[in-house]
Amino acid sequence: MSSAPVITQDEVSAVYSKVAKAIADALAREVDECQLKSRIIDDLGAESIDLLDIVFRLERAFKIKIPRNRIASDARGDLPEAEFERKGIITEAGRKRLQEYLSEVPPESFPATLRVDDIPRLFTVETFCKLVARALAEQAATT
Amino acid sequence: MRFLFVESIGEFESGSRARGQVRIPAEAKFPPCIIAEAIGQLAGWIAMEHSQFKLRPVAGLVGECVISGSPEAGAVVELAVEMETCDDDAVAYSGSACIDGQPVVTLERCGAPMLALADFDDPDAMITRFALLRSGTAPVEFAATLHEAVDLQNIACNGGAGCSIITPADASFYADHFPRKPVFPATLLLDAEIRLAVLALKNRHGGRMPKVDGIRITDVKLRTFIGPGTAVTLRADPGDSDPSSESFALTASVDSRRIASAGLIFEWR
Repeated sequence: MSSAPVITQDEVSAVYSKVAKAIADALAREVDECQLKSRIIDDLGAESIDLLDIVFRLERAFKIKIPRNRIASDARGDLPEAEFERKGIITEAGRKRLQEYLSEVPPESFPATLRVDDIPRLFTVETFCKLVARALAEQAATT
Repeated sequence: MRFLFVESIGEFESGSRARGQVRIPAEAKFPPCIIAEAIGQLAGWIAMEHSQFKLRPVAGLVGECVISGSPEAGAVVELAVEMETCDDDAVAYSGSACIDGQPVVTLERCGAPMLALADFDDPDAMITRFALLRSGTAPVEFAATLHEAVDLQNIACNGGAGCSIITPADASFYADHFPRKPVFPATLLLDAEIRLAVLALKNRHGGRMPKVDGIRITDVKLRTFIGPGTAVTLRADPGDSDPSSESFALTASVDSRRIASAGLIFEWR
């Protein structure tokens, strides 16, 4: 199973306004456009450099560290990498783990063939809220 | 004219910080953007060494660049960089360039993805150069002026300003930027944008340039590489102003696709 704790809607709400502002600033959008269900790439027009910008802004705003590829590695959990993806394509087992982890993404948004490189296309504003909430929870647990 | 602006590296802590130096040659005219490039190159050396010269950062983000001086020929510029993040995926850093202890350029909240060094440079050549920089014996190979490396063409001022540039098809700086993948330097793009914004500012003040005490460039973002011989459309559109500052939104587009953006604030007392 995925190694990440389940994040509650209250935890998402607690960080939403700061996350939305960071995303809006990175993408030169209005905060109102950055709703929880807004897809970072397809709705808000983010490119790869924007994802880096968003992560850096969130790290500074919340004083946390977000390891790169955190989402994929957390979703994979205890599943060996070779069973999660093969030649850049997510396996059926990997897909199941991703759908559990990215519970905020409607199942129909997952394409029939999901490439590792396409995982960011699934991300929504809520995905980043959960990422931040997890990082904050881990930080609190270690202090 | 080459495009390597760090002459020596003194203090060095792998993946963490470094200090370096560059002396402005007697005949050279260095726009402040090139000093910013020097800071970025020092950060690049920290990142490359930390990855055992497998990866290199390629410019993407600058949170803020403050230009508070213009280095004169013969000046010795002290460079300093602190890394906030330095891993195989990305780097984040801040840095400064000082002359006689006074900052002339500072960079905050810079970020760049790490890409395969071998796609851009010969790793062995970079290892050799790094050793020379650490020993203080790297040859100084730049001596020509860099100012107005790119002509602003078709300039139109109307509230803001717009123009076009064509990146040189063949220029000596591509030999260093980069030997295996010629890329028009982002700092030269930024220099062209600043020159355009200066024209816009002058136009807004009846043809007279206000006495600017400082320039701040904010939220610089570069979305893609610009190759040689590329037509780029630049714009400097007015933003907020008050009695002591005027701002512009800078954009660069290729074939209607926005490839770079930044904010620029001229400040005066």
